[in-house]
Amino acid sequence: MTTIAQVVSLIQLSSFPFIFVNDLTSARLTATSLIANLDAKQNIQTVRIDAIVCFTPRLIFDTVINGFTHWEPSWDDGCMNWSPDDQQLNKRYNDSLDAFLHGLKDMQSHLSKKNQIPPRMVLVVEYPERLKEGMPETLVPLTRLRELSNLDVTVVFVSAQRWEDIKPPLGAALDPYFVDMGIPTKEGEYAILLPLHRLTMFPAVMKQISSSFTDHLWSMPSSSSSPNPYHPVFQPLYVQYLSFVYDICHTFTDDPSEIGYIAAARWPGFVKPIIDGYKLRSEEAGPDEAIELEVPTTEFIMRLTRHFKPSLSAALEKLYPRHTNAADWAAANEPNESVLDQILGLPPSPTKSHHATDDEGMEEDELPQIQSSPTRPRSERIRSLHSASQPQTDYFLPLFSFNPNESSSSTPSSVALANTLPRISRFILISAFIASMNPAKSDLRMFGRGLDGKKRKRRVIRTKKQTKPTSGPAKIPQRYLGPALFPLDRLIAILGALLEENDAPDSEDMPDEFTIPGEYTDMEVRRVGIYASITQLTNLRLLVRTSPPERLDGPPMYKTGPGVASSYEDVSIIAKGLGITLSDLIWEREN
Amino acid sequence: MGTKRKSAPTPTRSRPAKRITRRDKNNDQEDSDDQLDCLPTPSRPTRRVQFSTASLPPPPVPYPSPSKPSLKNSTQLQTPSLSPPPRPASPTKKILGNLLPHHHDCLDDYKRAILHNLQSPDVVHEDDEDLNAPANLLASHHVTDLLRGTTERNEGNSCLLLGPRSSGKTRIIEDCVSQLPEQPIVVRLSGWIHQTDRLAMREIAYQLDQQTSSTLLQDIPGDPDEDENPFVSSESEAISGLDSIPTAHLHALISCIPTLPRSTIVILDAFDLFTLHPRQSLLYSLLDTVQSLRMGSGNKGLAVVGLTTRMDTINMLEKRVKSRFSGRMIRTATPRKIVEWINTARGILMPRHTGDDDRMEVEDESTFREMWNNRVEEFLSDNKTVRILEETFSITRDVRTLSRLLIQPILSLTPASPWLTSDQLEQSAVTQRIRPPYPYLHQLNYPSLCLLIASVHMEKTGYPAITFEMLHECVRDRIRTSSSAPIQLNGRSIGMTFETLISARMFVAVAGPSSTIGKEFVRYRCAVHRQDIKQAVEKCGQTNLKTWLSKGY
Repeated sequence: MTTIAQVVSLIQLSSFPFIFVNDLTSARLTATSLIANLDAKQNIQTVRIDAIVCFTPRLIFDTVINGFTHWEPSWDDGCMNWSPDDQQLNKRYNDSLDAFLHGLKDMQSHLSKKNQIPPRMVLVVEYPERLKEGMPETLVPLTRLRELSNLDVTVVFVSAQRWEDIKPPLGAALDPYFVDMGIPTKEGEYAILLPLHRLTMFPAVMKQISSSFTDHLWSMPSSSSSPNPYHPVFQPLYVQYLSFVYDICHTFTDDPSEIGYIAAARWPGFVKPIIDGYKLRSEEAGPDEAIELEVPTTEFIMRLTRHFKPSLSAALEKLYPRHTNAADWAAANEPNESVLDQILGLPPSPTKSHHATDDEGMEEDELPQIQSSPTRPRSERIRSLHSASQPQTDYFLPLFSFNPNESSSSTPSSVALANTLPRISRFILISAFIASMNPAKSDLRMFGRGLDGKKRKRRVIRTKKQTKPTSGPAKIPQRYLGPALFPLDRLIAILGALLEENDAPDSEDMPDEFTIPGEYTDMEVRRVGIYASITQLTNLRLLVRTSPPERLDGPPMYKTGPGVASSYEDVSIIAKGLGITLSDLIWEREN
Repeated sequence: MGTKRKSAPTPTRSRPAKRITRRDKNNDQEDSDDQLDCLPTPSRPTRRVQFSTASLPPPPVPYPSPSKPSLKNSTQLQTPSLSPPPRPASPTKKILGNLLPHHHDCLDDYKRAILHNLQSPDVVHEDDEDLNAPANLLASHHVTDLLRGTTERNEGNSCLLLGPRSSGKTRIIEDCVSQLPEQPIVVRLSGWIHQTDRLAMREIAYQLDQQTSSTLLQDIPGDPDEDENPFVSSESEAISGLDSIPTAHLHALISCIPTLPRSTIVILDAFDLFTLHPRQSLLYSLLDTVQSLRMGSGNKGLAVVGLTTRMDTINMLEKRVKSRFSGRMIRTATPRKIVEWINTARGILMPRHTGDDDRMEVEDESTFREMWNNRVEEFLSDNKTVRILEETFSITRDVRTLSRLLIQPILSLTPASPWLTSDQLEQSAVTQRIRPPYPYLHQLNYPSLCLLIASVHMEKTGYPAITFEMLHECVRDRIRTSSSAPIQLNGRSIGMTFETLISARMFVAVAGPSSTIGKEFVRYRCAVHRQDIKQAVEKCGQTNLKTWLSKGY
C-alpha cells in the first residue's frame, strides 16, 4: 500500500507528471495532509484546487496562478490577478488554456528570479470528477500539464472515485501513477498524533480523526485556574478517548472526519466530570493551596468511558446522518454535575446506583446508560427510553428529512407534521398516499360501497412471496418504486370514501335534503376549502403537481412529494392519529 | 559452489536451467531478426552478447560478489520466492550494518537518479537506440533530413509522425529540432488545447511574436517591397493586443510565415484533432503555404510536422487539404522484443550519473555502484521478475507502463531494505498494471457490504435497477432475522453509507436527478460485479455475510 509519505518522496525526489490518489473514505483529509507534507519540503510549491469551488476554467487558472505566487486579490486595487510586473497589468492569464500556460511560464521565470532554483510546482486537485462533468475540456490538458507547459509541474488528483470512472475517452489523458489509499484501519500505519507527544506513535487514522476538527483547539492557551476541555493535561486522556470513539463508530463509518465530528461533539462533555471535580476540590481547598489539574486514575477513566459509551452510540445515530448539529447535540447532552458523583460514588450493585440517581433527580436518560454494561448491546426498551428522552429542540417541520426515524412513535418529523397540519389536510395526505401507492383498479375493491351503504367485504389480498419467477420482466412493487401519479379526481374520490368511513357526520347533523348515504360527504369534498388545502399541501411540497398548470384538458396530476409524505411509516403514524389503520388500505404491503 | 549444497536454493536453480536453453534460442532468433532489420552497426554483436548474458538467469556459479556477507544476502534474497514472508533477517542487517552508514546518501542519489530516468524512460532507450529501436532511429533520420531541408535549403516540408502512445514521437521531434545547426522558429500546437482554429491562430501569433518580436520590428521598415507587408504589420499589432485582430486576418498571418527572418517549424501534437476543426482551414492554410513555397524566392522554409497515434489520420483530411499534404508518414515503434524491454528496465535501473557526484567519495560510490548493479542483475534474472515483465510486455508495450511498474519498488527502498525484490514488483504490478476493479472492496464496513449483497439479491430477484427503499428493506429484514449481526439498523442511518457508495460510483444513478423524486426512490445500478462482491465478502471473513450471500446462489 503506497502511503502519503511515499507520494511525497516521489514528488520530492523526482516527480511524476501525473498522480492519481484514490481514497474512498477521506479524500479531503488525504489532500490536506498531502499538501501539509509537501509544504514542509523545501522548494516545493503547492496549490489546492477544489473542483467544486473552481467551477469554471477561468477560476481554476486564477486559483493556480494566484496560489503559486501567493497573490491575494484585494478589493482596493480592483481585485487584480497576479501579473509579473507593473508594466503588464493588462496581461490576462485566464482567457484560455494558452494564456494559462503563458502565465505558468511567466510565473516560473518570476519565481526563479526570486529563488535562483525554480520551485517544483504541485497542483492538488480535489473532486476531479467535477471537472469531467463541468468542463471536460480542461481534464486532458491538466493531466498533460507537464508536457504542454514544459515546466516542472506535477498534477495530483485526489478523488473518491476511480480513475476508470473519470478518465476521458480515446486514451487522451496520460495514465497516472496510481495510489490507492485504502480504508484507514487502526492496524494501519502510525503517525504522530498530537504536537506534545512527539515520541509516541499512534495509528494514523487517529491522527486523521483528531486533525479533522479539534487539532487547532489544543494549541489555544488554557489557564489552569479555569481549565477548558483542551488543557494540555488532557492530551493522554484524549488519545484514549479517540481510540474509544473509533471502536464504537468504525463499524458504521470509516470516514475519519465523521468520527472526528462525533468525537469533537462529545469531548467537552466527556471531560466535564473531571473539570467539575477539579473545581470542587479547588473550592474546598483554601485560596492559598494550589490544586494541580491532573489526569485521573485508570479506574476513573474506565468508569468514565463506561458511563459515556451509550451516549456515543446515540451521538452516532443523531450526528452521522446530521439530524442535528454537533453544537446543539453537545449542548443538549451535556452531563450535569451529578454525573461526577455518580461516577465517583458508583456503588458495585446496580440497584443502589439506581436508587442514588433517583434521589439526585438526575436526567432520565442517564439512568439506563449506567445500567448497560459496556459489552452488552442495549435492549430495545432502553433505546426507546433513550430516544423518548431526546430533547425536542428540533421541533420544526422537517418536510424534506431523508432519514425519518421509523422505529418509535415519537418520531419528530411525523409528529410535528401531524401537529401542524389541519385535520382535513391530514386526510388529504393519507388519501394521496393511498392513491400513489395503490393501483387504480384496486380502488373499487378497497372503497366501493353498494347503494345500501354497506361496504363490500374486501377480499384480503396479500402478496405472497413470489414462489416461482414468472417469465417476462418482474413486477416491481410500488413501495419500491415510490409514489405513482394520480389524477386529482381520484384523490377526491378516495378522500370522500375515507371521510365517509372515518369522519362521517351523525345523521342528525346532516341536512335533510341528503338522503343517499355518502351524499353529504360527497358534497363536502367538492368544497373550495378542499382544493385550497390541496394547493397548500402542494406549496409545502407534500404533494407534487406533475402536470403543467397551463394544461387544460384532463384533470391535473399529482403525486406525493419526496420525504415524509412518501414514507409509509410516517404516513401510517399520521393515520393512526386519525384513527385509520393504513395497512388495511394499502393494496400490497408485505408487513 | 558452497552455496549450492544448501537445500533452499537448489529448486530455484534447477528451474532456470530449463529456461536458459529456451531463452538462448530466443536470443539467437533475435539476432537473426535484427540482421534482417539491416542496421549496420559493427559493435552490435559483441554488445548484444554482453546484454543477453546479463539478462539470463544466473548461471550456477554465482556472481563475483564483493564480500562474503553479500553472498549470504544473495541466498537470502532468493529464498523469498520460495517462502512468502520476505522479512529482513539478521544477516541483512549485519551486512548493512558494516556497509551502510556512508551508503545512505548513495542510495538516495540512486533513487533520485532512477526516478529521474523513469520520468523519461526514452533517455535510456536512446542510449541503446541502435540496438533497441531501429524504427525510431530511422524515423529520427528521416525527420532530421526533412528539417535540415527546411532550415538549410528553405524547403517547404510536411510530414506525419505516426506511432502508438509513448513510442517516442515527441522525443524524436524535439531531439531533431534541438540538434539542428541553425535554430529555427518553433511553433508548438496541441490539439488538446487548441480546440478551435481561432485559438490555434492566436497561439501561433503569440509564439511567433515571442520568438521574433525584436527582429521583426526592425525588419519591417527595411523591406517595404514585401507583398505580405500589411500582414506582417498586422502581426506587429498583434503584439500589442491579440484580441483586436479579427479571425479572418489571423489566417492571412500564416501565409506570411515564410517571410520571417528564420525558417519555421510548426509541430502539431494530436494532429488528428486538428482534422476535426470545421473545414480544416488551419491545416489548409498551413499546408497550402508549405506547398506554394518556391525555392530561391528569398523566402525562408516552413515545415509542418504532425504527431498522432491515429493510424487513419490521413483519411480524415479533406481532399483539398490532402492534396497539399506531402503524404510523408514516418512511423515510430515501441520495443518489439522482450529483450529490449528488459534492457530498457536495466537501463532505467542502472543510472549512469547519480546526483551530486562530488558530495560523496568516489570509493564509496564505486563500491555501492558495483553492489547495486549486482543486485539489479539478480533482480532482473529472478524468475518472478522475468515473468512479470514478460506478462507486461505481452499486454502492453507502453514504456510508461514499465516505468510506473518500477516506481513503487524504487520508492520502498530504505536503508533497512536497500535492494529491489521481485515481491515488491509483484505488488506494484497489481496496482499499476491491470488494476482490480475495486481494490478496497473487502475493507468496506459492514453496512456497505450489506448494501452490496442486498443489491446482488435484488438483481437475482429480477430488479436490475434498484432503489434505496429496496435495499433498505432487504438489509433490514436480514438484520432482523439474523441474530449475530454486529450492527443494528436503527432508523435509516444506513442511508449515509449508501451515499458514500454513490459518491464512489459503486452505485450509479440510472436517470438524472429530479426534484420530485425522493432520494430513496432514485433508481441505481450496482457498478460492482457480482463476482467481485463475492470475492470481497469471502476475503473480509464475516461468516454472517457469507451465508447471506450464498443464500442467493
